[in-house]
Amino acid sequence: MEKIKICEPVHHRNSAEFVASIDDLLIQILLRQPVKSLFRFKSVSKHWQSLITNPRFCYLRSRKTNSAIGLFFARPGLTPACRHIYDYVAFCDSASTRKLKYLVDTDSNDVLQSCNGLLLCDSYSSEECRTRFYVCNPTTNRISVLPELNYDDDSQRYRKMSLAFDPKISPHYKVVCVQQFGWDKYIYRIVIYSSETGAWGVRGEPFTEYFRFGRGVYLNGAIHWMTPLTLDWVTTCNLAELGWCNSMYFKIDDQVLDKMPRAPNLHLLGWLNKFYFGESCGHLHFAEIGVNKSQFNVYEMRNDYSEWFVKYQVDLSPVLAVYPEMIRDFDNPTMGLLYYNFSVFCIVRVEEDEDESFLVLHIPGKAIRYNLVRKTFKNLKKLEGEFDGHECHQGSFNSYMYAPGYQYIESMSCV
Amino acid sequence: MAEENTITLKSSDGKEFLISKKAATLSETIKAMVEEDNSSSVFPLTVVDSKTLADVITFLNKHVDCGDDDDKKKSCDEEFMAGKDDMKDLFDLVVAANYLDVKDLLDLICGKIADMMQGKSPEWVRKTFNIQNDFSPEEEAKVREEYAWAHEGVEED
Repeated sequence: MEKIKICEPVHHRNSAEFVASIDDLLIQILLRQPVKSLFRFKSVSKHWQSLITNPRFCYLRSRKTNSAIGLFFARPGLTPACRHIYDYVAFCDSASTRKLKYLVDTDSNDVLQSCNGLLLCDSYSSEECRTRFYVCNPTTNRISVLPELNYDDDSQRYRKMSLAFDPKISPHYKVVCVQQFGWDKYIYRIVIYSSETGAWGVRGEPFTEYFRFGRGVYLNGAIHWMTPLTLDWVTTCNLAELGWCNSMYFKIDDQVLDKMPRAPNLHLLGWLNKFYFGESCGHLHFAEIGVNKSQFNVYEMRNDYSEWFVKYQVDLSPVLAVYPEMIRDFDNPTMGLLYYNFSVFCIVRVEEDEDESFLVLHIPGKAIRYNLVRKTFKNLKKLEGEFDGHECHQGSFNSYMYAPGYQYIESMSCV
Repeated sequence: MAEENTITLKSSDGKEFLISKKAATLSETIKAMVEEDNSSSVFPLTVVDSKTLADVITFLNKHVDCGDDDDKKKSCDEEFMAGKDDMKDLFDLVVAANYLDVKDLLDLICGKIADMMQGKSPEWVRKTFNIQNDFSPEEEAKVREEYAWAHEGVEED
């Protein structure tokens, strides 16, 4: 009964004022606003500003489903000056464009990973001769530079950073660093940064693993890596003896590193093939893309890590018919093959309507949205500064075809 | 028998509405009132006027008919919300839904108010909610500048 008394409106005020005076009601209304409106409504009054800025509100807001609405990618270019500029592609025509904020006093910035609304980036300063890592919220343009990782020994050794962040579980994020330990190439240890404590901490003992930890993908409390076999490996290792695998995952809370089932068809990866490995709305995807094939499968990993199964079958022939600039004769006449000039920026699942799930293709001069279920496609954006179609020269070909796309998910989370 | 299954709700302006107990007790507030005093059959709701109460009762009756059928509820709700785009009416309803503690109605009206606010300017919000702008011009300019992109493409008032 107490609650009722508190909520009883005072007669002489009008109901609008009454709504504005009850935080619970206001929060219910504000939680239903898109992020853009929320940032705009911060300037309504000091009270609204504090409601919207409150971490509790951010947490409640982040529990709603949040699909990616665009992607960032490194603008292709041949001169060093434009190598680290990121462009944005919106998945809808009407959506406004976004700009990435960089650490200003450094020579180059690179995005390493996108994770539920936050980006993990690094930046190299030639003056200081060091790389700094930072976490960025591209919605609020807030940046947080991670503290230097203190090494026992040589800091120039192999290390790979991955971001773990799920606002539905915690407002804090972690950065998992796999670093080479000692002088053996395949002895590693794991060090984890927590934004809650603001410090790095070594987890577990050093271990040996015949695996190279590439760019990590976060899903369900674990970081996942996929590394194709390289020539270097074939010549130096007896693979069967070493128990070679091409993908692994690390459960952060349990501190368990385990193997995933081998990705299907992931062949010896050289200059012929590339692959896509990423996450969207709780699904882990993998696709092997041959440069001389216009068809490929998109695989999904089962939640229990039991197997990769074919989720989508992609046939780009209709796309090739519309955009012939995707086809090029490779220079080597002895090969006698057609080569396709495209890559996959990202695969996006649409939770509200599975039939709307799509992938974004990068073809010369354009980003194409291809519906994975209905097989329809459309041009999303003309990519500035890129050779398109007919003027595409040999030199410009390989320079960008591996540029990954980093999904943009609106987020109010603090870094 | 009929009397046992119905109660009368009395609005702030004295109008009486007959409603089934089953529909009325979808409101947690009325449920508590009925449980506390099961000898009465008339319950005065001193803070809900007759226009709003009539709407609330329509909603409660519709929802009782729908039972647990979510699809049916959804189409009922659409029907109920059709033409409701006056902010004052919506505020009256949300205040009533909050006071009567009817979660489904509260969700529905909050969603509608949120829809109405989309693409609107902070000035529109202040006027509509009767909120005093307590930022100094410098402070306001600073907040706006920080999120300039969020102010692009806003409807004119």
